[in-house]
Amino acid sequence: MDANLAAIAPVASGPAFLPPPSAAAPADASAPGAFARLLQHEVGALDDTLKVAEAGMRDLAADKPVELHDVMIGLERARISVQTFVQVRNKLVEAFQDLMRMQL
Amino acid sequence: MDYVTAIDISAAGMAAQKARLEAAALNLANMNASAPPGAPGYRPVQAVIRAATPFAALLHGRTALPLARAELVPQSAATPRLAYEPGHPDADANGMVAYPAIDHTAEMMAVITATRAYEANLAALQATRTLAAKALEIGGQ
Amino acid sequence: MPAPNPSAIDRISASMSIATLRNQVIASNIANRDAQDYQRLEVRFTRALDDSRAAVVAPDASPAAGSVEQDLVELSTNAAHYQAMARVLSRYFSLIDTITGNRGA
Repeated sequence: MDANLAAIAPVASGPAFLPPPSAAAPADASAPGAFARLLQHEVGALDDTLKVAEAGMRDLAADKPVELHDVMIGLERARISVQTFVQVRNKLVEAFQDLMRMQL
Repeated sequence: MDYVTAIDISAAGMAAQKARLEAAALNLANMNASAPPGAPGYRPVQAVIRAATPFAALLHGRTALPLARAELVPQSAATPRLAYEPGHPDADANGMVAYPAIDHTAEMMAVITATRAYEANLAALQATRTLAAKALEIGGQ
Repeated sequence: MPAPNPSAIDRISASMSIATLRNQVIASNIANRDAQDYQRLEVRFTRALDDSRAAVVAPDASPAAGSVEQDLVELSTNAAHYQAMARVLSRYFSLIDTITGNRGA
């Protein structure tokens, strides 16, 4: 938990500008902490699942010899990735807002 | 490359069995069609089924599952069935009338066999549809 | 972010692909049964150089067997197997949803 606070702290104590609550990603790109890197990695993984899903859909539409069950599996994986990621993002936003409300 | 789908295969099979039914129906319909003496008369037909590689696959030099194709050909010439009917317009000097050499029982058997085979192809078609339908149902539930 | 176990899903997907191939082969055996120059086919497994298994369509090793009824039984069994795996996949994804809280326990 301390590591997370350390990553967020430079942003909170920085000059004036605070990122709006809707942007869950760390605003300071020049000093990414371990947490930001993890987030980056997860976004990449999410993007991969979406790419695979879209490729399957394209092949199916183009009448290419792609297995229908593989396309469905690709879509399911993408759905799960997106929904999980949205949940994580919401929790992050919540945590950030809680942090901002703390009297320090 | 999937040049031939399971649906194409079953559809071709059904078409081939239909041809067999047509042949039997034609033969049965003309069973009692007499011919004047010396005239050729009705020539019984049969459905010959061959399995041909689809053209699209040949074009690309690939092997693909073959598609059934039937054509109606005349049966090998058999001696006509002769019946003694002296008053018949087509009777010859001896009162014998020539009818096509068609075996009623054999043709009925062909109808039954072809029908069963047709239904088997239908079952295969339905199985293919089931696979697709079940694949579409994949999802968290 | 939890990732569904890829190898389990991949294995089921491969099994479903084989079932799809088998469905095609059985359909061919049924459709071409009365064709003069047709040789019955079956799905066989070969071992590639890297020891992975590959499914191929090959002439039936025992062509003498195979009535229409037998073909229909194989057809049904294969379809049931495919359905079962599709269902298992759905359950698995549902399980992941529960674990990640996507749908709630």
